Amino acid sequence: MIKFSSSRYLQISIKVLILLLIAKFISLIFWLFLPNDGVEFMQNENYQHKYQKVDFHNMVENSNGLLKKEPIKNGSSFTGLSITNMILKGLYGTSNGGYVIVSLKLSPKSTSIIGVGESFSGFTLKSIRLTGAIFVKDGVEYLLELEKIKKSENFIKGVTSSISMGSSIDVSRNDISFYAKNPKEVWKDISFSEVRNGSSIEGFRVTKINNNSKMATLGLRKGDMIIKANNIELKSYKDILGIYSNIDKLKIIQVVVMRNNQERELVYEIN
Amino acid sequence: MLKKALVFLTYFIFFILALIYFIPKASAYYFLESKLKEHSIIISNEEICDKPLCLGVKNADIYVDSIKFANISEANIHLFVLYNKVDLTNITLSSIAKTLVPLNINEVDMSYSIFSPLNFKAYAVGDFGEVNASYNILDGALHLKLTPSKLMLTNYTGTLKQLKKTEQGDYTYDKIF
Repeated sequence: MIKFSSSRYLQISIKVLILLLIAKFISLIFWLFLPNDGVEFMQNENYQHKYQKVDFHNMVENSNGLLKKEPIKNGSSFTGLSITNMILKGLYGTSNGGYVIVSLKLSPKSTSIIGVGESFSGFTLKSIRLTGAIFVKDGVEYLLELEKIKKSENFIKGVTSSISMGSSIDVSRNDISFYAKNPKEVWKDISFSEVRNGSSIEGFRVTKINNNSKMATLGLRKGDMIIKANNIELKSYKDILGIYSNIDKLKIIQVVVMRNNQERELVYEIN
Repeated sequence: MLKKALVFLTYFIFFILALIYFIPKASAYYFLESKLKEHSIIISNEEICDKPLCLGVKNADIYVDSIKFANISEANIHLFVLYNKVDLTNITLSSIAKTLVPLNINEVDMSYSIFSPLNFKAYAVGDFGEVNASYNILDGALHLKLTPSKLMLTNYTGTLKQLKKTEQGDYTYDKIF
C-alpha cells in the first residue's frame, strides 16, 4: 500500500493549495490599495436665476397719477409709520437717481414706485445703493435694505442696474419648438465657435449667420460673442445645454453678447 | 520536457484563473472609474455584478464634461491577463449627438491581447453600420474604418464628409494623439 503522504495526488494538492494561497495573498494586496467606492455623477444644483423683465418706464407712467412729488423738508407730516414697516422690493438706478419699489408690511402686494427726492409715508428717498436705499425723515437717515428674494411668484425679483430696459424681441414658440426638434436647421442658419482663454471658455462667437433666416431677426450679428444667457455665464457646453434642454419652459430668454468690446443685452419674449 | 512544459502551463493557467477569481474586480473597476474621472469621464448610476471570472456592469450612464453622453445597458469586462476584453451591448447615445450619428449602438467589443501588445482593437455595430478601429499605443495613432448603413448614408452625410472615403465605399478616419 502506497503511503498517502508520498502519493502524487498529495503533491499536486499541495501545489494547488500554494497557488491558491499566493493568488489570494496577491488579491488581498490589491484589495488593500484599491478604492472601495466608485465615482458617481453629482448633479450640481445649478440654480438658474429667474429672469423677469420689469418695465420701469411703464410702471412709472402708470403710477404718475398715484404719486405726488412732495418737497423735501424737515419735519414732514408724521403718519405714525416707522421705517421697519416698509419693505424694499426692488431698486433701479445709481446713487444720484433712479427708482425704488416699496410697500408696507401691512399690504405687501400694494407697491409704490418712489423716485429719488420723492416721499413715501413721510420718508424721503435720498439715494440708492447697491442693496438698499437711503431714506430721510426729520433729518435722520434710514437705510432700508432690499428684501431677501423669496420663491413666490408674486414678488418682483431683484433687478440689477445692468439690465437694459430696451424693447424685447418677440419670438414664436413654434419657431423655438421647430429649432429644438430640428437642430440641423439651426446650423444651416447660424454657427458658433467657442472662444477660449487658456483652458477656460469665455463665450461663444457667432461665426456665421444667414441674413435671410429667422436667426437673423434675433439681433445677433457675425462676430458677436455670447457670454451669458438668463444670467448664467456660458463657460462650458454644459451651460448651453442647460438652457437648451429647458428652452420649452422658458418665457423670456436674455442673452448678453460682447459686441465691439461692449456688453449688449438682447431679450427675447417667447409667445 | 514537453510534459513538464504542459504541467507548468496547466499550473500557470490555474494560477491566473485563481487570481481572477479572488481579485476584487469591483475595486479594480472603481480604480478605473477614478482614473477616468481625471479625464472628466464619469460612469454613474450603474449596477455592478462581481462574477467569478468577469465583472458585469448594467445600466451605466456615461458623462463627459458633466454632459450625459450615453447609456450602456450592459457591459462585461473580462481580464485574463493574456487576453482582455470589454463587451458593451445596447448603447444609447445622448440626444445631443442626434445630428451627428444614429443614437443606437447594438454592440461594441474592445480587446487587448499580450500577443499584440501595442494595439487595442475595437469593433462596433449599430444603426450607423459597422466600425473596426485600432489604436497603436506607441504611435498614438487611431485608425477607424466605417462601413456605413443606409441610414447613415442618407441622413448623416455631414458626418461622413468628415471621413475619408475609400475605393471600396468604406469611410476611414485617422488621427494621431
